[in-house]
Formats: sequence, structure tokens, C-alpha cells
Amino acid sequence: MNTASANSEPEPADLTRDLFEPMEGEPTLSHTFDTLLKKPGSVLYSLHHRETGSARLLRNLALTTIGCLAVFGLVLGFYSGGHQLWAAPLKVVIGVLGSALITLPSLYIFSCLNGLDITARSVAGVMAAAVCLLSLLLLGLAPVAWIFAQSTEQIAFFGFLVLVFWIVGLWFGLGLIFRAAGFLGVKRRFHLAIWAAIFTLVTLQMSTTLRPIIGESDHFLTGEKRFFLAHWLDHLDGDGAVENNGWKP
Amino acid sequence: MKATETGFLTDWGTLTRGESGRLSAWLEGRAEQSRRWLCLVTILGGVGLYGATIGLWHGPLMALYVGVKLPLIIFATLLVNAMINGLLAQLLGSRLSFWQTTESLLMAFAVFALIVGSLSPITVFLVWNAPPPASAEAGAVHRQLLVTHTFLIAFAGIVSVKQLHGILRHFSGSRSAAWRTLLAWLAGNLFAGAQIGFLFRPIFGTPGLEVAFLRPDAFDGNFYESVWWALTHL
Repeated sequence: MNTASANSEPEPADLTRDLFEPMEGEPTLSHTFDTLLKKPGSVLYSLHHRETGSARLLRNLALTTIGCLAVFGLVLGFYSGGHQLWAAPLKVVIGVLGSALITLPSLYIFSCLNGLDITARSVAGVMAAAVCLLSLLLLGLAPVAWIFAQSTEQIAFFGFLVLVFWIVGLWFGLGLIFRAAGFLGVKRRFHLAIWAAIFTLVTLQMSTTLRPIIGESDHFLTGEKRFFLAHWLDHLDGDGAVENNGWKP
Repeated sequence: MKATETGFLTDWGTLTRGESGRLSAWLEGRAEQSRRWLCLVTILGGVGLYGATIGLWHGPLMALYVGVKLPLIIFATLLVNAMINGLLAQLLGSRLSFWQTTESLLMAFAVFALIVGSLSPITVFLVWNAPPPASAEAGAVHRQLLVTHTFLIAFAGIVSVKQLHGILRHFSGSRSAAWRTLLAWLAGNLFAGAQIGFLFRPIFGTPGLEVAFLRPDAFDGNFYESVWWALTHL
């Protein structure tokens, strides 16, 4: 191993990646998600400093998020087919946006607790960028999910796979929020870590609230209220067959 | 770059960030106007909202009761502990007056209110997903909600008092004096707050018992006897 190169200057890719600087070019739809992947610092900079075009940037992030989540939801819908082809995309979009909405006030307060001098609008922008990045990753994983959706019969296995994909997306999405905190000079991120855990739990519960998302269903929602861990344990015990038939009138 | 929000959002930001310079100016009366009313309204709104989400599991009436009672518990704790907190602040070298101590704790409770208030949409979501009190799982759900809310309240309580560290350091000029005072306040507020909460029960509402503003036996026993009883009957 070349220790000299390992300890000296960072790689060029790292230099471009972590710059908190204005976004180059027009914030078109394709340029927005391209920059979000390659130079997320520029997207965060534009949102935080309310640069010209930041409203357009926000709109593009929202459109990209909805589009990516809908496609990922459609792939989940392929597991069961039928009504789930439209219900699953709708539920995935509602679930992720709903989770973001109900955790937004606490993100603002927890950011301030961490010492961030940031406006509520900037926090909303960072959240939009994080959810968009998460959605882009889910879109990238959608073809893999589709292959498993076509070949897997075990709902517990497919559910576990989707959970793993979700965690991968969350890792990068939440990572963007931590990176934003780093750009704004925060060194200790304890409160944000607590918030990240809460956001993760909310999204997991949301998947149970809006169930069935990957199972067959005659109805849009089940009327039964459950915590996600109890719901998962039932599936692991082989008691999940009832869930597949959805709500009983 | 500095945030550009104005009014109460700026003040909330100052409180939650624990900006010792500005908060000390408020306490020393150097600020343009007192933030006492802002803190009081924030506690009423934030804690009231969070209280309502605790009671919501038992229905709107219980939500209203707990929404009213929780801010009352905060104010009662502040009132009951005002004397001892002021004494401890001076004994432990914080150099804060009695009035400044009370105002500091009012600020801490305002931060507490902002934290729990911001978590309210999540706790509503939690209740919305919980099987109702009349269901077979009511006992388990009650315990889960109890643990969740206890964790959230303890977290918010510790974080909010800790935000006062900057102010205490500013006034005392000593890190150890600031920590001593902080821990003494925290211990005192937790000790008295737990008993005041016990007197104002039902807060979480045991399934099967009637919804009421106060229990008829409110002054029978205390929080610590109940904990001891629970530990010996596990």
C-alpha cells in the first residue's frame, strides 16, 4: 500500500464531492438529480442560500422524488399484481412524503439543538434533497427488486429484501442531512442522530400502517392497527397469510 | 451564514441553540424586551399539544384533560422548586439571582416544550397506529406508550436543562460550578416533577379505568411508593 498517497492530498473525486458552493448551470430536472448525486454540496448550498432558481430546484426535487418512488412502488406492485399495480406506488409515495412531513418540525428543532443557525425553509430544503436522494437510490435498486418480485413466492423474503433496499436508501439520504450539518459547521451531531433514528422508525411504522404494500389485497388499507415489529414477527411466525387478503369488511 | 428568520422563530432558534450571549442578555435585562411571555406561551402551546397527543389514545376528552394538565405540571414544578433552585444556584456558585434562576428554568422548559411539541406529529402517528384501549392488547400497548413517552420526556428534559450550561458558564465563569448547578436543578426538577405528575394522574390512563381530570384518590400515596410497589410485585 502506498502510504504516502493515502496520507497526503485527497482524491480529486472527493474534492469535487464535498464542496459547499453555488450550483453550476440552470437547475433543469436532469441537472438537478445529476448534481444531487455528484455534488450534493452544491444543491444544499443553493437551497440554504436561497439562490436564484432555488424554488425551481425544490420543485425538481419534489418531481424527481414522486417519480422515483412511484416507479419503485410499481415494482413492488408487480409482486402481487392486480390492484396493487396502482395501490403500491400510491402508498409508497404517500408513505415517504407523509413520514417526511410529520418529522419535519422535529428536524428543525433538533437541528437548532445541534447548534445549527438555519431557517425552517432551509431545513425543508435539506429534507427535500435527502428524500430525493433516497428515492433516486430506490429507483436504482428497482430493477433488482423487479427480478426478485417475478421469481420470489415467499413474502417474508421479499419483504426483507425491500427492507434492506430501504435501509440502503436511508443510509445515503440521512447521510446527506449529516453532511449538510457538517457544511454548516456542526461537529457534534448527537441530536441529529436521535432524529435519524426517529425518522427511520416512523418510515418503518408507515410501511405497516399502509399495508398491504407487497401482499395481495382486495382493499386499499387494512383496518387493523399494529406496531411494525408485531406485524413483522407474525410474518416470521408464518401467521402473515391473513394480511395478504387485506381488510375484511 | 446567519439564518434570516425574524420574530418568535428567531427567539426559538436562540433558545434551542442555547446561545449563551443572547440568552444572558435576556436574563440581565439588556435585551429590548423580555422573553418571559414568549417562554410562557411556548410552554402552553408545545407542552399542551404534546399532552393532548398522550391523552388522545383514550379519546378527545382525555386529550383535552392531559393537554391542560401537562403545562400545569410544568408550572407547578417551577413554582414548587423556585426557592430551592434559587438557593442551590447561589450555593453552588452560579451567581444567578433567584429571579434569574426562575427565568433560566422557564427558558429550559420552553426548550422542552419546543422539543416535545415538534415530536407531537410523530406521537399522533404512534397513537393512530395503536390498538384502542378496549382491545385485547390494550395492556401491552399501554406499557409501550408509557415507555415511549417516558423516554421522550426524559430525553427532552435532560437536553433542555443542558442547554442552560452556556448561561451558567457565562454567569459563574466556572465550568465546574455550571455543571454542579445544572445537575442540582435537574435532580430537583425530576424529583419534584415526578411527584407532581403523580398527583395530576391520570396522564397515560390505565385501560379499564374511567377517563377523569383527576383521580379521586389523587393525594393517596406518592410516585416513589408506587415505583417501589411495582418493583416488589414484578
